[in-house]
Amino acid sequence: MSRTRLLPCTRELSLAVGLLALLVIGVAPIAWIVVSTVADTGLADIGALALTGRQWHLLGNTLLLGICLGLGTTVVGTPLGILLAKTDTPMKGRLYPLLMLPLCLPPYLLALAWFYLLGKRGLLAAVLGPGVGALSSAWLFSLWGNVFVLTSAYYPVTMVLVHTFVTAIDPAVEEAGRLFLPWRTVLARIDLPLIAPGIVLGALFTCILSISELGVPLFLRYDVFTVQVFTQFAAFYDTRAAVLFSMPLLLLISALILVERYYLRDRFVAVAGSRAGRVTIVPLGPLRLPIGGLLVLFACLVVLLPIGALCLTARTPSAFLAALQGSGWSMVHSLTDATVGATAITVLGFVLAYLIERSGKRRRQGLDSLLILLLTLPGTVLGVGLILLWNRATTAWLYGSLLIIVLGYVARYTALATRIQGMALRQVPTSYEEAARLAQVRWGTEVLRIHAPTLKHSLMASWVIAFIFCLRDLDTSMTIYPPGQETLPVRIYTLMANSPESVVAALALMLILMTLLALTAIGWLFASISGEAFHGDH
Amino acid sequence: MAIIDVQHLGFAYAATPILQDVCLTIEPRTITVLLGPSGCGKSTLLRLIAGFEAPGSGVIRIGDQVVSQDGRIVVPPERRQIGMVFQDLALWPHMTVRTTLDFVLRGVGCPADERADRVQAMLTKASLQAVALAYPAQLSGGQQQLLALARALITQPRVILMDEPLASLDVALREQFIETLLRLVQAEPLSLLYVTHDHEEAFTLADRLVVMSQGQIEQVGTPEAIYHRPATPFVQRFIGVTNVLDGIVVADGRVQTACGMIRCETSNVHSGEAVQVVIRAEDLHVEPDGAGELVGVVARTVYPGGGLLYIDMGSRFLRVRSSADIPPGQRVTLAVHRAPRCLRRGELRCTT
Repeated sequence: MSRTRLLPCTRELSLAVGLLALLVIGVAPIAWIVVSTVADTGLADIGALALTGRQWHLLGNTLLLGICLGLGTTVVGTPLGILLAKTDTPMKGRLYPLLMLPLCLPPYLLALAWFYLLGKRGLLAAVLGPGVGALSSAWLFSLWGNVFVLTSAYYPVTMVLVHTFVTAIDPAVEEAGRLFLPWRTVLARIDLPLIAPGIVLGALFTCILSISELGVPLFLRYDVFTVQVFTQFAAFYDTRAAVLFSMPLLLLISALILVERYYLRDRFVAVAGSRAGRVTIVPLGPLRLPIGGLLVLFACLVVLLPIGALCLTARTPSAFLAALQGSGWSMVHSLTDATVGATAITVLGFVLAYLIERSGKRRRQGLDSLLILLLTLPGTVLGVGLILLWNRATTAWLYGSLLIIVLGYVARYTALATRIQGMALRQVPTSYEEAARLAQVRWGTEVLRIHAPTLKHSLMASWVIAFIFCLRDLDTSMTIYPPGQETLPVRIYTLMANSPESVVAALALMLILMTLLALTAIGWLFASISGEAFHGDH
Repeated sequence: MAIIDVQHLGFAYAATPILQDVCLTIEPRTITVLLGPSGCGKSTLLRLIAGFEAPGSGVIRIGDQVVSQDGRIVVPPERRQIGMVFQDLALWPHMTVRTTLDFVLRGVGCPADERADRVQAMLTKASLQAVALAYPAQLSGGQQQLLALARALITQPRVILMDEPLASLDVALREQFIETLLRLVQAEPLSLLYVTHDHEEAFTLADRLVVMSQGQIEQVGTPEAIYHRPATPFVQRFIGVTNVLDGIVVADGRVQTACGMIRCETSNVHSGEAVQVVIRAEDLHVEPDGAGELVGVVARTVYPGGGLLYIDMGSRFLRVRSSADIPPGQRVTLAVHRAPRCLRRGELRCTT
């Protein structure tokens, strides 16, 4: 009797603890920024400060970069997503993971690689002369150079979204059009409107990501809000100014998320159908080989060329040895932080995914929006919030250890785990839980014996993806890392200014290698999932 | 001349054969219904005729034109002049009712001045005027069905293919849709090829019935011929409510089954042979005076559909068509009124 009474308590308590963790780790630092700014400065002064020419200049640059990137990733990612999902392009099975790779790399590494290629003393200048080098360098350090590097880093977001939306179209919807229209009209008038939400989502999301990006504009010297926040905080130690520069960013990103929520309110249901997932392939005919060739060329340009530039710059084994000797411990920190962070993210991600998937629509949207806000918020802003909240005598044990970095990772990247596990949870019938509850199974046991085995693949996938994102994080780590706890991306960034290029390039390649190993694990994981599904079907 | 002519059609997914040597002709202005259990290949046949898949072997002609032949699609779907109602309707979620119909007419090259009139006429005919500006998600289930039908009809195609269009509807909407379809056919004769696994639907609509099983056509004929003169053991078992009993032929005309001794037509089998006896529910009669040859106890009475009794024979139930009001638990005797055919064991391909 008493056991029955305890059952809902255990579940509600666990979910409440999960929600509380999100509030303390993610929401409290942001709330602290807002409250402390208003308390210290006053609303009237904030208004006055927000209307300075400097603020408008930063807002203009930030928005321009965001809009250009949104357009750039749409122009590049949309055809790639359609070609890879819908056509008989040759080698698309191999091209897809290759074209996904830039998303797994820190964008500033791509900026570094392009700098080695296009800088004043870069590889291009070495081949074509210093005149060309000066021109290419000037271009790289302009708005368009920033847009180019960020587009090459973020086009996979749009590509994946478009690919997913195309795959979700019920083939019968296309066949209904094929009875009257040729393929090109079906693609233009039926498929394109149905994948439009995916394209818009990709544009908005990459726009938000570019607005919150620090590494690339900081390295390529483009004056945007994130760079100002970081400069005020790290160079001038002016926390108040950093906080003030954070406020417009916070508002801008919240507004964009609201736009995304409003636009995509009920649009996801428009595409799914009973035969969704079985894509009808459009034959490219005589264009098949030329289009395949173009895709290979594109992959070489945006993926292999930058990595090749890093390899050429690192060149000798001694560079790798020097990198290991000087920065081996930062690799250990990176691996430790990413491992602890990914584990915490996976656990919290499950609790929040459960809360989201098994809640009412309004609560679900609220929690989901909050997580997306934290994911897209600039790491520097989040970092400043964490410092304001935890940098005090009573919490020195936390602030001075790797835990503060882990908190930063959890606050920022839990949205990824929640989304992945949420999608998997949606496929699990609620009757599993109801049957367990009728059998008076405790919630802890239900999680371990029913949810964990059912969701094991999504749990593992979300761990690996969280690990990759923690490993590549620069913005948050660079703002909050305690003395002696430098991670590898931070180490690379700090070495860029005063170390031999070969050593920096070698370190960058080591980070890429670590990421590739994690990606290989994902590949292995999904191959085993497909294998099991195959056996299951028979 | 047949409007669709399918000759020696074969189709396989990977190495699994789906259709084998299918030959079929569809006559103009008739409703031809493809009836068969799930997975028998009837929807695949429809998709091959529509041109969404290429046949592995064989020829498909629409009118006098070869449209698919031996592994290739000769005429693409958009040039076959056919309409189709899909199982899940496949309505375009981003188009209103009016836009959908207009879009289809535009696709077939209908001039602008004619389009508006034809759309208006179809909206009236399908009773969709009131929701002309609504999106599919804003329509009721019945209205969605009507829109799917209107989309298929508006181009005045040579033939309309319907792939289990009523599968997701409740009984009331089903009846309403069938009524609408029959009215349309009455008003202007249509050539329809209709796929279903539902016997009632098939027998209600069909001028001509095609029974399929395991990728092959078992029998083609009028509904009456198929019901009363089943050509194969499969059709015999598949059509109507049947009881299949295992037994041994003991003497000319008699078979020993677990339910008792039954008089059968045994001309095709030998004494001592293991056989199966297929008895229709309406061929078994409850004998009020206890004169029947089989004895059992009424287990359950099912009222809808003219009355069906489940008789507990000890080892199994027999289903008997009867409108008699017999309470469960009452002992009854049964007589077999029409001597059933005996089939050798394994002769029945059982997929239902």
